[in-house]
Amino acid sequence: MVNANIQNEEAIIVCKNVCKWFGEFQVLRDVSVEVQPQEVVVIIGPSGSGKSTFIRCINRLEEHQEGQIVVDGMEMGHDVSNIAAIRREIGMVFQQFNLFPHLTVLQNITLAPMRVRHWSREKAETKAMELLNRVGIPEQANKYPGQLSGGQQQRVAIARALAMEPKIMLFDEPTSALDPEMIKEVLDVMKELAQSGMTMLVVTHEMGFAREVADRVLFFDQGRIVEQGTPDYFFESAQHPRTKLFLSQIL
Amino acid sequence: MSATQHQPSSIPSFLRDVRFLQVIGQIVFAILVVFVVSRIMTDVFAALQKNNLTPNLAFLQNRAGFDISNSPSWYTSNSSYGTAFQVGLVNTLRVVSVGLVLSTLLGILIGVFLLSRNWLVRTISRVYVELLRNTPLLLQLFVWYFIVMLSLPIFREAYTFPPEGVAHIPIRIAFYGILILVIWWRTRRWEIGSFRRNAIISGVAAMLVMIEIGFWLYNNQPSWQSVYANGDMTSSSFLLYAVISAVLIVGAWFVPIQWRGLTLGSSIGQAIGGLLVYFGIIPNSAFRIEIYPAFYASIRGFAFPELLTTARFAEWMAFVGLGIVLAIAQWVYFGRITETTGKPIPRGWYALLAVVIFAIVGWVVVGSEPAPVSIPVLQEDQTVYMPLEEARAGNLLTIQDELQYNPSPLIFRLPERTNFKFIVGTEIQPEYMALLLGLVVYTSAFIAEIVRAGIQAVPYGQLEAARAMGLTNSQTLRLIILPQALRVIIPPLGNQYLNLSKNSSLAIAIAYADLFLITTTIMNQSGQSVTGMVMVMLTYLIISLIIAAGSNWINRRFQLVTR
Amino acid sequence: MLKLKRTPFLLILLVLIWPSLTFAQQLIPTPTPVPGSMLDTVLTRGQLICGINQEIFGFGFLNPNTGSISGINIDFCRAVATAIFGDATAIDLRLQTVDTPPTALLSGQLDVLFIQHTAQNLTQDAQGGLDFGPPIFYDGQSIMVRTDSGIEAWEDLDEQTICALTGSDDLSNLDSAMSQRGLNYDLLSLDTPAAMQEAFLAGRCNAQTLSRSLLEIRRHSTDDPSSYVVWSEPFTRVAIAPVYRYGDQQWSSIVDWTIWGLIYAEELGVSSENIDEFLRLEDETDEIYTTRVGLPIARLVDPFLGLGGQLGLANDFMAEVIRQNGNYGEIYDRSLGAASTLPIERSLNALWSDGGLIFSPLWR
Ligand SMILES: Nc1ncnc2c1ncn2[C@@H]1O[C@H](COP(=O)(O)OP(=O)(O)O)[C@@H](O)[C@H]1O
Ligand SMILES: [Mg+2]
Repeated sequence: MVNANIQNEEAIIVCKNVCKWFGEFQVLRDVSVEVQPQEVVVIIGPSGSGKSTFIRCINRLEEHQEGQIVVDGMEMGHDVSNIAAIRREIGMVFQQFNLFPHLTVLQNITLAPMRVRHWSREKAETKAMELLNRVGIPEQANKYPGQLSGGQQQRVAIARALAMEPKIMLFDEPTSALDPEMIKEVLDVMKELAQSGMTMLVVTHEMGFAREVADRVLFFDQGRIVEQGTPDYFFESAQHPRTKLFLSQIL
Repeated sequence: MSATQHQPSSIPSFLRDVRFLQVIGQIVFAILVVFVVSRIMTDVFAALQKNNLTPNLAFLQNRAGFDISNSPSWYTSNSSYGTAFQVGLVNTLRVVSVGLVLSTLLGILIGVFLLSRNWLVRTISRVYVELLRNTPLLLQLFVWYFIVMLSLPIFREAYTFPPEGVAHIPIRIAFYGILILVIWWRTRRWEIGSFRRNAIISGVAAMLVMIEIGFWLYNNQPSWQSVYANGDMTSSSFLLYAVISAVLIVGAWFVPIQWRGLTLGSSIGQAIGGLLVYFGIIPNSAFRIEIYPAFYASIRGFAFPELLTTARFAEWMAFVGLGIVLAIAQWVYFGRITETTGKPIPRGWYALLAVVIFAIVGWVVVGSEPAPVSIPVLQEDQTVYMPLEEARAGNLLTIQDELQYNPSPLIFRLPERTNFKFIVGTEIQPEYMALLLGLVVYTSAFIAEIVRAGIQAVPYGQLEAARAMGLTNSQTLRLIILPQALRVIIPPLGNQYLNLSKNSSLAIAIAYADLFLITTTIMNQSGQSVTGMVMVMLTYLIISLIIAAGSNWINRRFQLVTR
Repeated sequence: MLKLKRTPFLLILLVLIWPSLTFAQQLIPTPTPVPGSMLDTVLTRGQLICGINQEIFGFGFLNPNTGSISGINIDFCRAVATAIFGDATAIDLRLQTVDTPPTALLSGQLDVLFIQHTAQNLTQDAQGGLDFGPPIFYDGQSIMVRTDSGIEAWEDLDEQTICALTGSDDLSNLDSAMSQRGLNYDLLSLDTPAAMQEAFLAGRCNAQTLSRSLLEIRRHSTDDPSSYVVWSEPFTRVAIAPVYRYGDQQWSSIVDWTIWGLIYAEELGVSSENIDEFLRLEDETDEIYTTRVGLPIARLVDPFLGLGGQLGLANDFMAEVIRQNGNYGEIYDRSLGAASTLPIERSLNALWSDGGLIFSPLWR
């Protein structure tokens, strides 16, 4: 009943007045965003502004204290079954890859589809190989993560997230831990993914990527969305002084 | 930097060769070791020979001539020293093997508590670990034995559990259980949210508790009956009850939201419960159950029920074995199905079910095989034949007869005692208990730290990645955390196992007849102290080597999985 | 390179360890005969050195509150000193632990050993170097039970738990006593006497076994001694006696006859109280004196008829010994008997005339 009020027929993620505190410190202040299916939203902002915390609230890796988050029509609350259902629909890629070092690349990718989606091994492995082909490293299937380069590991992490066939992908600075020559291979995969119509929320400092791929750019500062708009608007004619300052430092 | 550095030195070149010097060093050292050891050996042998104590193993055949506390039936004081040594070994293994298992379980539990998010649990377990790690084990053993065990009551006044007597279980209790289960089950389907579900379940539970309190007050506490008891409630106490209920219900709205359902439900429930008792709506009839103690604790030890296997046990085991085979087959089969179709099957439960069904069927089949019409028993020194029941009624059956003729595969017997000992039951000595508790509690503190460190060694990102993929908590623990934590945990855990096995020799301080205590007695009695010492050392060495080999083996398996 | 550096280090270590190994070997004792007469040595020194122990009440016990040491072992040491110097205080007490063989005595650091634990046995006699004097106390292993336990005889111990000391001879003595009678029991063997007492008092065992004297001492150290009983009849025999080095006939005689003199004095009714009545008056002739006190007493305490001269002592050395220390009965009473806080019945330690084992050879 409450959901009906704020639910836009089309939005796949609806955040309304989301607030979050770590102890006394308020990290998110009245964040309200709606993300449409197939939209690519890039989140930028200075370090410590709450970008990671925000996207981690969307799949409940962090708990928000006030406001509402509705994902794919399900409200993110204390209900365990809702949380599980929402997590199934959201894939996440971390800055530090977080691959499971005791499992092979193939096992990393097939784990969740088999355990959570209850696919057969055959189906999961076929899907995994398909995804490995898509990210360009099918030959690494039986290696352990420790034997791969950083860029390869992050591509495996993307494949692992995609294996669950999520409706939404969250990326938290996916290229920040990579050597410069590996950044491109990861960004290429992400571009291809965006073109295929995936709904994506990407926290990144890669302005080139934002300009080229994003449908919308959000600028975070001190837990607030200070400014948002299309990349063209954002990079050419941003209004807010904080945005200008930030852009001047980064570009 | 000049040429002076390259001038040939006066020492011959081979003496400056590292490889040569290394070899020479090794040889000199080896020679010295051999020399020292042989010198010590000759001296010791000479001294012993002078005292007619030349070390040899022949003395192991001599009569021991001392008793051993709680020794197995194959040992008497007429047995040989060798047999006494074996008793010691068995006793040591008895405490070490059980100790390893229990300290691991307790250690894992405490280790997890150390990481608990609950402040109280975390602090208590931290204090537990620090207290135990930083006090000497010997002191702890003294506390367990001289303070805890020796302050248990004397044999005749043993603590018993459950206390002997008659219990009246109200019939309604059974319905309460069913009611709660049904509500819990039904509300799962209702999709009414956890708030309302909490409210309903806690409300019903509080109501039931209130009903029981009402009965209890009515039956046992005449002075309190004015509040809830049938009939006698004065208007003022009814008012009091009503006010309390009202305050609770209203107060529930001021409780933080996540507890509100719980509080509100229980307030309303208890109010209804009070009324139900007040108007005498719930009947008070009960089962009468005679209770005999199953557990005794006294300064002479602990006694538990015993489980004996009869002549038909093997037959029954055949059924159970069949069940196990089927369970395994089923396990493998369902595993394949899950692999190919992805359909999750609770194959663990199915396997258990298979075993249980076969066990029950086997029990019925084996138990219903016809028993001999009459059996031979000894009556007034004469063998007479009579039916089993009659013999049992006449108290003519020995335990051997029972084991041979009783139709059920297992006999479960509660402890029975005379004035100064148990004639039925499994007994545990206080010395064994004190040593076991001391070792387990002490070692568990170290294991807890190892487990904590092992779990903390798994980066938090692993947990987040698993959660983000939608794995459940138990899947995360089983598939992600444990395999990585075990890698870190196993090597130091093996060390703790070694420590435990060696620490068990402190048994001598609290009179548990372990390997070391018995060998001490043997050495004093026979004078063969050198031989005895060597035997003890070798035995502990072998035990240690076995444990080390085991933990290395497991360690290798886990390392293999990682890379 | 690391290995190369380590090897000399190990070598140095060995060089250091070697002498201590050789030294340790020398600790295995060999009898060292002391040249010359023991009596002369002791006289020159002016003090008698006795090895004693100080933990066993009634035998040798240092009272932690007063700092005074007492017990029959100490008293007999004093008696020997009185025999030599006429002065019971001319003693030097050295604390001895229980070690077999007693190294300090063998190496000449002690003149005589009065300790509780040394019991005569064949092996020790045969190995030489030591000799035992006359027993001053007959002891033996006994049983202690609670008064209300109803255990009064061996048969009552059937199927009971009995505490004993790990590694002691008590274990096998108890076992043969029990198995001779066809009795079963459960043995709890404890590591220290204190642990054993604690287990017994707590009720973990129904009986405990030790030497009778030690059990009596333990009984009296409890809050209520009357709630425990020590069987007065021990089932093994042990004699506590002084130990001295073998080889000096005169020295062993001095120790032996001092003890026998004390026993003889009790037998004759001569005590520290009445000793003066038995001394020769100034103008008494031999005849008058011997008719008054009797020849045996005269031989014990008279400066002319006394026999002490044959030992190299004063003829009447026993007069001083008795005056300063009392006779055997007095010594016993003071430390173990009626006058002490732990009356142990004399039973075996009564005079032979009272049915005990205590007697003196002839003073002649
Ligand atoms: N678990 C936490 N506990 C306390 N403070 C935190 C925690 N995680 C993040 N913060 C704080 O919240 C603020 C926002 O963090 P984050 O969302 O990681 O910023 P960003 O990703 O934009 O750099 C930072 O000031 C950070 O210090
Ligand atoms: Mg961040």
